[in-house]
Amino acid sequence: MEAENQIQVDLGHLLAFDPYHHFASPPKSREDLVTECLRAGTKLVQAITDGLFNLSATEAIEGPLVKLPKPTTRLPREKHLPRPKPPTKWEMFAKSKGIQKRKKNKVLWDEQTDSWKRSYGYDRVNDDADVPIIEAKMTDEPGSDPFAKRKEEKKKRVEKTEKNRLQNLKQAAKVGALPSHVQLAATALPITGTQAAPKKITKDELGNVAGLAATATASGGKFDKKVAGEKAVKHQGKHRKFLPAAEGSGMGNREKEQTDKVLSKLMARNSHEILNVGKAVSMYNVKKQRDGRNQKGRSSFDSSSKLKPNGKPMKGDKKSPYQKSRKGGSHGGGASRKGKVD
Amino acid sequence: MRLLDEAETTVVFEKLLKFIGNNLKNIVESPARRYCFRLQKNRVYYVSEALVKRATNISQKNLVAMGTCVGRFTHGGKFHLTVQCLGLLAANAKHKVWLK
Repeated sequence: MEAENQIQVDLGHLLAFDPYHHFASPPKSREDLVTECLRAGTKLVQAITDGLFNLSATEAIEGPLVKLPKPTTRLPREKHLPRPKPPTKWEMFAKSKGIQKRKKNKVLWDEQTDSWKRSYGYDRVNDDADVPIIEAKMTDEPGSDPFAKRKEEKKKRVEKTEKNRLQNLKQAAKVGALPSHVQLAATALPITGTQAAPKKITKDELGNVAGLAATATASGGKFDKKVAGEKAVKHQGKHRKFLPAAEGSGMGNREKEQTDKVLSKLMARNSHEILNVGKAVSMYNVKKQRDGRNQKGRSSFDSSSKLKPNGKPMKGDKKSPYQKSRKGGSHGGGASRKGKVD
Repeated sequence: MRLLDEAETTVVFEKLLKFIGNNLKNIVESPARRYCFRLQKNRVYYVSEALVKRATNISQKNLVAMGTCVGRFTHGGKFHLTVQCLGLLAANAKHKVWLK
């Protein structure tokens, strides 16, 4: 009976599968279903962890390290099988004429130089450069260069083969059987008549191009009317904006702001003081003075509150001397709260 | 010559903080607000504002140095203090030792 209730565990994929699971009765509510599923799920996860801990572990810095075995379940293909290529022009021609493929030798005998040469490439047979003399024929015009003519003919042949190659690729692309490394080259061609593969332009690219176009006016696009919804061009290119080196009168506001900001942040971070003693003492003294004054003359207290429009006592009265010892920012504030003297 | 941007000022101030501590305030916010930091090439200078104003008249190519050179930024963006800032540091150092 135990063998029947085995959960299949594939540690390579960290997968656990219970083929015998079934609901005894249809669950009454969503919560019941959820609890049932969670219970079954925990059993499966437990099976995976049991398997994992049964594997031999090596010690690493973070803890025990386990090498998972090879997965046993075969996952389906992610991409489709490669599609059959359409025959190239030469292949069709060869088929129609009945031409068979023949095995070529590595080296061939070259009559020109009386040596063994390759059939193509570096040291090849029938190389144009090896021909020292070309005898003039009756049909030749005087003044024409036969060597140049040969070069031109070769160029034409090369162009023709290249054209055929591209045509073959286009045919293959139509079917979708392009070899993957060729994909980009083929889509860059001006394909006429056929449905070109749409080139995906990302949002960023579009934004960049739009920015370029917008600023390509005489005044840098500053005075152009913006279309509804068009955003301002973000910094294009390497654009770093710095504050001016010397502002109008003395150290200008902006530089002061920047340095103050940085300074306060750093000071707050590095201040090990929990308490600003000087400030605390002065606040305490002030409070003491105020209390003394209040005790002496009640009228002064009343008049001071009446002076205020709401008739309420002034705000700064009831503050503890330790509360205000904050040095810039939350860091100092938190620290001060921690160090409250009771 | 240009101002330091925020990142650069943090780096410089942090380095100075290690030696000066809270007295950094005295350097940065000098009472008459007369001194400031400027960057020329990759060197940071502690200059008075009057000097800065006059230095703006010199082209970047020809400007070599101004004020006291506090330190320089390396190619990797780290900040090293130079010996010329010793005077500045000594005046505001956290811990001082007098030798007889």
